[in-house]
Amino acid sequence: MNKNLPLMSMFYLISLMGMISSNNWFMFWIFMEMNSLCFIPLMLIKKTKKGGEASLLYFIVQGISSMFLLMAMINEESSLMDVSEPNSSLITVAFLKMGAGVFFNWLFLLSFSITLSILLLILTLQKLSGFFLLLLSQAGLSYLMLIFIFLSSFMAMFINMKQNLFKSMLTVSSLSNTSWLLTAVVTTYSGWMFYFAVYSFSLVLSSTMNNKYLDQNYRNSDTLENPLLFLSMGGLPPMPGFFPKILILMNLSYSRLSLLSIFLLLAACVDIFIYLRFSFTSALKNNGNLMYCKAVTTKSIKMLSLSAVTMVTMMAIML
Amino acid sequence: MTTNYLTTRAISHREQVCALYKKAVRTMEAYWVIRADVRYQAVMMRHRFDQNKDIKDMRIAVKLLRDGEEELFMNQHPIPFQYQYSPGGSAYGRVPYKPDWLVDSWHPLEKASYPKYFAQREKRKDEWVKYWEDHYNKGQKFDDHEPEWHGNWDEKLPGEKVGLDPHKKVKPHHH
Amino acid sequence: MTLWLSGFFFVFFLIMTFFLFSMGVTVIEFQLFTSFFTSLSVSFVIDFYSILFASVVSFISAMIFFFSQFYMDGDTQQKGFSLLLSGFVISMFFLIFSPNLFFLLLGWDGLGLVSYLLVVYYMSVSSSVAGMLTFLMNRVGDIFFLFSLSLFSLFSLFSYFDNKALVFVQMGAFFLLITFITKSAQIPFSSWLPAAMAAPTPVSSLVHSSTLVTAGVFLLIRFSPLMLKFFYFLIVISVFTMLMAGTMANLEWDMKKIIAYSTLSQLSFMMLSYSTGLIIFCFFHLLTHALFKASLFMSGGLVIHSEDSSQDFRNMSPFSSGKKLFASSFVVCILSLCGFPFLSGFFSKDLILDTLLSSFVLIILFLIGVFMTILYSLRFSYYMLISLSSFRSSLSGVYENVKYLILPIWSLIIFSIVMGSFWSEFFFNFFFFFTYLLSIWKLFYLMLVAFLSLAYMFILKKIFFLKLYFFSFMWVLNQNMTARGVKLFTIMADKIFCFLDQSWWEFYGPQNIFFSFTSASVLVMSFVEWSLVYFFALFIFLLFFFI
Repeated sequence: MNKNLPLMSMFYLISLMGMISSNNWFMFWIFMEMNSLCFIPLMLIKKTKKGGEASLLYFIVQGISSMFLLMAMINEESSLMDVSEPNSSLITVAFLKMGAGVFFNWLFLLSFSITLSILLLILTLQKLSGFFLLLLSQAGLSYLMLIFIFLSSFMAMFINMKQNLFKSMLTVSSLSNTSWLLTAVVTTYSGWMFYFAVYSFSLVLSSTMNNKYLDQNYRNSDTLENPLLFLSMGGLPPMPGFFPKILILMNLSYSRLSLLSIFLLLAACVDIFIYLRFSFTSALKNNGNLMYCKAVTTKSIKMLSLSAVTMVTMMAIML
Repeated sequence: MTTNYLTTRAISHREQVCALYKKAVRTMEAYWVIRADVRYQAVMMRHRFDQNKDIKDMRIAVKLLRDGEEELFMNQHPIPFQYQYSPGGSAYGRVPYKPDWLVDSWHPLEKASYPKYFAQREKRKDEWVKYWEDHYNKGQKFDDHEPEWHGNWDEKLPGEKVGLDPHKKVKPHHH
Repeated sequence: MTLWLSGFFFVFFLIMTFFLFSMGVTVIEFQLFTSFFTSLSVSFVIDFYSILFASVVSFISAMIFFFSQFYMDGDTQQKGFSLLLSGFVISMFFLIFSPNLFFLLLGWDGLGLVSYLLVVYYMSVSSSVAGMLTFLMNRVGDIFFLFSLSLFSLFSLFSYFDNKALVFVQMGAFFLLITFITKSAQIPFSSWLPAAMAAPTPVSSLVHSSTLVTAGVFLLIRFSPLMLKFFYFLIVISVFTMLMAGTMANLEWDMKKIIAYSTLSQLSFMMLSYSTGLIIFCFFHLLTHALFKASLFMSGGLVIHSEDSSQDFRNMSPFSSGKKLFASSFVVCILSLCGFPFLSGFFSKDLILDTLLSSFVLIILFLIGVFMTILYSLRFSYYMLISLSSFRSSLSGVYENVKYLILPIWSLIIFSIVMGSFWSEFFFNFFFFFTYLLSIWKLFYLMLVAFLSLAYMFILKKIFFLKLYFFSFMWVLNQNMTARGVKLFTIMADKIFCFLDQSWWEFYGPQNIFFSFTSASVLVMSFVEWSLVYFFALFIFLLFFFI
């Protein structure tokens, strides 16, 4: 274990706290830099073949985004947070940091060359900086935002058709979830929090699995967990991932954003189709060993009970 | 004409006429409710039959028969009368009949569950076979093939079968 | 057991009677859970309709349980029979008291299931067929119920208190209407009603007087604000059902089936009054009809029992004790059925007749229907009474001590004599002085019909002996709604399956979508995998954009 890990983790958390509690863009920029400077060494703790290249790529992306942030500040000629008119360049920075829409490709490329735990961090906590930016700039449902929401969901839908690696599937599903989160962050703050919590929880649960390879057509794992995770992230009703989605849809229907909700639902349907397709092959194709016995006796009972508990909790929250 | 599902023999003209008369009376029983009405109609029908009883020309007789069958068909009742326990009646098959031989088709393991009953049953079966051989099948070897069909029993009227004069007045017996 | 149940329902009747005098609407509601869109609650509505109908149902069922103690005596499964019968009554109570569609569905499906189990109670092939017909025909209605439930749940409307004039709600109301006319056996769905006569007679009595078939009419009354747009549709259906049931009752020979057809014609009479807007009259007739129909069926059951389970009028013997004792009850019921003055049927029927004659368009058909009612009533009582003096082939009258059946049958008879005027004066507040005067012409009408029916029986017999298959088989409804109808649908489904579902729709639908999505995903993937070059190009573009 690295000697500096506790210190770096502390600074990392401080940077997240600082970002959400800063009152001008300059402080935000400082904490953002701190964040990326803490995170890149974290990426390099475990030595992998492509780790250096990945950390470099991540550094470039973060550098570009902080440069844009500075440029936006200069354009505004003030570092104060202007509530009246959210700057579209700030929003673009947020998209770049999250890897939403057309900026997805750096995240996708990165996902092949980093370890699963770092990927999980990137997909959950590192996205927070982008969302904080959006929250602090009081971004509304502008055309830019709508375009990125549509682009995220549709790109996720199309890219998802061709994925067969576990990590890349996680990444692509994070893209589709990003579109939902973007919708939430501009319409309902509590819905966004709820969605983010449930999504992060599901992803962290997935880190208990050690499947490196997951084929859509052929299955070499013998547990029941992956389909459950993906169906939850796709938003199939009894799973925990369903409830934040329906909450956001309710909010959309209250604010009469029917077109947006239809697009989101369409993309979610295709996602669920894709997840169900490989769930069928994985659930129905047994490799001669007793799949369900093994599954039930090992980890997946934990997973099942966790998801059941989550579901009950969600129901309680809903009620 | 015959209503049998499978005709196994030639049916004589006399039988056909009798069957037609019987069916006509049955149809009239379906139409008329009160017994006196039914009897009156039956007598009228009998009169119609009796008018033509002496016709020797078979061509005319067959034509009459065919016409009668046509008339019967055209006048059949939509809801024919049926006794309650007959097939088609209202109470037919209410109490399910479970044939006794079903018990014989049990598996030996099942039979072994009730050893006393089945020992008794086998004993009774042997006794029954012995009784039947003694009473109905004297001196002959027991054979489970069906006996050969000799002649046609339906050809004769019931009175003729037992050798009685059909026109003689017979005291009706009660069941 | 059976007697205990009878006592239980009688006590329930007494409680209901106590409630009767507290007018007003009380709704008791227990919230089960509330979710995003829906709130599900168990609720009971206690008002004029439910209390009055529940009291009638409980009284009749108490009497019928008492009767079935005698009728099913010696049966091996008497205990199960009584339990099933009480299940019937309990699901009926669900139906009466619940304003909530979910719990209405519970009672509804309970009725369907228990009716199937009771129709197949006798283990013959014919009763099995009849039970299946009953169950499937009611199942059609249940499917429409589910349709309407799903349509209503779009707007989270689960009780009949909240009705909105939305398109979907109108559609759901139409589906509900179809459900109710399946249960009340109106014309496209009537074939199960005579078939269900394969059940034991106490069941038929309960079904036809107050539970199964009247459930449809009762719920129609409940949902009447939703049904306003379909009244014209209902008029046509009920008039034709009335005609059909009348002809069938005049041509049928099976005693129970005649009573069944009379129920059908009475139901369509109620439907007719309902669909012309006389909803309260319809409810009144429902109640009076329940009383005399229950006692009619019980008397019929007694006759069947003493005739050694023969139901055919052409197989009657004068030597049965039950018939001698209860012929008068038959006559009272029959007269009440055809609306003889001052019996309870008169009070309800006369009102409807008078009101309809002043406003009604299809008056000829309607009058023919009423004529048919009187005709089959007279025919029924004629054959019932004439079998006391003349006899058919059967000499097998069963002598039974039926004296203690005086209680259930005659108490219902007394009720059906008295309650008409009682209810009309105390609960419905109808005034009859004018209608008495106005309805003298109906006495003439009755006499004319009596004369005509005598003529029918003695003079015009030959005319009716024409080929009456069309009329004798329920206007060929039986075949068309079962075998032929199913065949039609099967052929249609086959065609759709071959030409659309497995070929064109599949080709242009899912396969096409899948193909286009796959090719689109190849395109998008090429963008994504182009990776860093693309990314830096985007970066430079944005740089220009910001500077």
